[in-house]
Amino acid sequence: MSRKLLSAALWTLVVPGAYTVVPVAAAAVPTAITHARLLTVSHGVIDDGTLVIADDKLVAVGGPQTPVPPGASIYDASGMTVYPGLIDALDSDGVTNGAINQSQARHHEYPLGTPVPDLSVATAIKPTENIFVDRLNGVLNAGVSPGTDGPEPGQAAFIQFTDDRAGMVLAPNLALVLNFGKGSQRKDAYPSTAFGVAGFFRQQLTQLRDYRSGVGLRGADGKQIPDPRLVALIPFADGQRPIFAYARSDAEIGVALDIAQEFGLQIVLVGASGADQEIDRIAAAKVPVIFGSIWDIPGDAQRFDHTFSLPARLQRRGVKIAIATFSEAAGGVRNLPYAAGYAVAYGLSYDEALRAITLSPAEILGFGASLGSLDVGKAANIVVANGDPLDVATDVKQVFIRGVAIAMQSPQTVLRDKYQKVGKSAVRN
Amino acid sequence: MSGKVTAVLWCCLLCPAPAWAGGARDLVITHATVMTASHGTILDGSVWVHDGKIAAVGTSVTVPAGALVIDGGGDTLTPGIIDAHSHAGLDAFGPGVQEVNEMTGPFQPHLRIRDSINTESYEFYQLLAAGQTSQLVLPGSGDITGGQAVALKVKFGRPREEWFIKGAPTSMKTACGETPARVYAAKGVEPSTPEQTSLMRRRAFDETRAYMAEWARYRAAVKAGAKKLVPPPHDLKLEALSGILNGTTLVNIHCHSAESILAELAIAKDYGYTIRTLHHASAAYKVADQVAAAGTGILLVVDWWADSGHAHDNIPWGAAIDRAAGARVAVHGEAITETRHLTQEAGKLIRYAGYTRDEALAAVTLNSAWVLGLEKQIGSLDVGKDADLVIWKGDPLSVYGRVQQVYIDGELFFDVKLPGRGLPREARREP
Repeated sequence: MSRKLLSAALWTLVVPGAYTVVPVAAAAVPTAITHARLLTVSHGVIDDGTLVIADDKLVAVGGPQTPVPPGASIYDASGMTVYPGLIDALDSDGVTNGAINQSQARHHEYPLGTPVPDLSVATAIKPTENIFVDRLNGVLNAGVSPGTDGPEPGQAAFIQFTDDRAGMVLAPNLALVLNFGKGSQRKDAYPSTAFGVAGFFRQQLTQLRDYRSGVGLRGADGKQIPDPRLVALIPFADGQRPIFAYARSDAEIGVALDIAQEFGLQIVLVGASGADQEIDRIAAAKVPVIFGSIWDIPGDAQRFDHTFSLPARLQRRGVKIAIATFSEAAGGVRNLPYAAGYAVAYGLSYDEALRAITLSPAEILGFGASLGSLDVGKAANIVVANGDPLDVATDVKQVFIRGVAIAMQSPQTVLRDKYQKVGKSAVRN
Repeated sequence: MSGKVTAVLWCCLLCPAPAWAGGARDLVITHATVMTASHGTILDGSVWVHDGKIAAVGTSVTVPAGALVIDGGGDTLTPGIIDAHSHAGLDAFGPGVQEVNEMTGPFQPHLRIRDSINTESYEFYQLLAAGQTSQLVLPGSGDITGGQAVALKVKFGRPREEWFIKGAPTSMKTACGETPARVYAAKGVEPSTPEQTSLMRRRAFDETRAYMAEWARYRAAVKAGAKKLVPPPHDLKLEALSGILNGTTLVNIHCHSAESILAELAIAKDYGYTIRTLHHASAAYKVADQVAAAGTGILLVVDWWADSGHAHDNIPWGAAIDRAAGARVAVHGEAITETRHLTQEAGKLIRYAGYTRDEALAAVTLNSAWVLGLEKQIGSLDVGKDADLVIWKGDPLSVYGRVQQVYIDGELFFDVKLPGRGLPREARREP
């Protein structure tokens, strides 16, 4: 309960006079969601299904015969579709808000574009308004990008859309970003070209090899002088944590794959919305793709549906994909399910599309054991909606984060409730 | 659409100049779910196109001899989608050249955005493939009065003079306090506040009134028989603003906040004109009754907020509140990325604003046409209107809707089954 009180307090700091977050159901009592159409993602669809939540986890997932613990609070989901919380594998929620752009929100004092491999975006994350707005459409987790300023803009983080700054960051050092695409080239400093960016990575990764084999500056005591920027690279270079290679076009993807091959890096391609000739090489290298944005405009030589059909083409050729919004502006993240829906319209199977915004991103980001599907033991991140999760007309009725039915309120619903009841202008000259 | 019909189309398209290419012949689309945007949806309906105009709409139509008949096969037929707020194709001078705002002074009413339009821009191909047949392309919002917009049809592949809709009313793009104040404050000149923007607009109209009066006096004197009178000097800027005061020019205002909207409504009232449409109109729902009472339309983005500080209060329920107050609501896209799925944005109104499917479609067709002042010519499937048609597989208001064919003035401009970019022969660039 203290966490809830804290979050309410935090919220009032963010938006003065907004509202108090009142949980619909206390997490202490088990909750059973009954008579739901369950889209489990991992093991098909269960009609008239039952889900049981205890504390913050799923403890039962099954058909109508699934036992409901005595004393459980019942959420009758007749006519409703229930699916795991959506995961936007990469966006800027929790960092951007209103007119503040990402660069301004980054908590560091280096000139923009300075390589900062040791810096995580996690330090800048807080429950911004986007978090409250986007979770009402079922997006409950996200990978947060440190931006695209320079070749090494920092480390991405992984968050859940809760109200508390302390609890929302699940992985402050999710992935190291190596930017091969937009923004990687600095304006007035090295590297300022695409081949400069590739050269910069080769220098840095060679320097890391030297450093780890004891070559480098030594202090008066003869010991190697620690280099925090190089040390920060180690878990990523060793494959313990993923490297996000931002690359959109074939050219950018090709260079990213080259560098990964040369230095034995395990990368995740991020973007790839212009991929074409490199698809087979991506598949052969067994490199997963966080794909997006599906709304990116194809090149002049490409058909109008080049980007729309890419998730299907990648998947068909054996590439593991997550679909992400990459949204830097507010308003984009809640459209995550529609990006997946568009992929369905252009050839991706429905099951794969839903997986691409739930279990696949969880797996790619290292949370496959705890998130992304309706399975016993996983976190109770659940969405209750009145229809197809991938379509625009569907209304999300309730979301549960870690077993707590959150109040379906946001700064936007506050405005809605205020003005739809007024009947006449609340503002007058 | 059946394979047989596609084969027929193919044959036609391989002909160097198909007889019906100029819209001269008859075209009949049968067995389609016809969403008219003006009078409901006709299941298993048909539309007859004659000389580029809609000649009949109904459960069945008489098929004239020699007509090209397309079996809709249960696909959905809608009017062409219209974006009443576009900045597409403003790259006539190459990438990186800013062609949206002439921000060298806050009043540019004499400028015409059509002079910056590149009809060969592939943005238009992307829009055509999304079912966009007409657009109002406008200057940006950096100036108090940014210049004249242009209503066009997306006739990709055709010479530019064929694009601009003849007889369309003059539409002026203006912006309320917020953006010009930001732009010019950065330059250290006026207007540096929204209040100053309002004041400068009033001053400009005072000047316009004086200019109009001077010309009226001159014309009256000439009419009365005066000889050798020297006419007053022409001022193209004041000439253009005269159109607003005499009611011949449609006023489009980029406006977000409720306060700015009220300030603009007050100016319009004082100077005796009606603002045709508020564009973006993020917070119009806060003053929806006053907007509706002024007869002003609201052109909004459904699912876009906090993109700038001014758009912060835009909520997806805004359209419901606006409509309940009696305002006419249309939906726009702003960026081409959004305009490419404008029908889905309209589909969100079903969820958030309680719209019927027909009403949602009208928000991106008939109501958009009204913003252009062309609601009698385009925007719905009604007899006598331009035959701007889109055939969709799947529900156009859902994420699953896919454009199959696009007709403008009865002519085929896009077919998803054609190779390359799906453009008919004359519009294709590749060999």
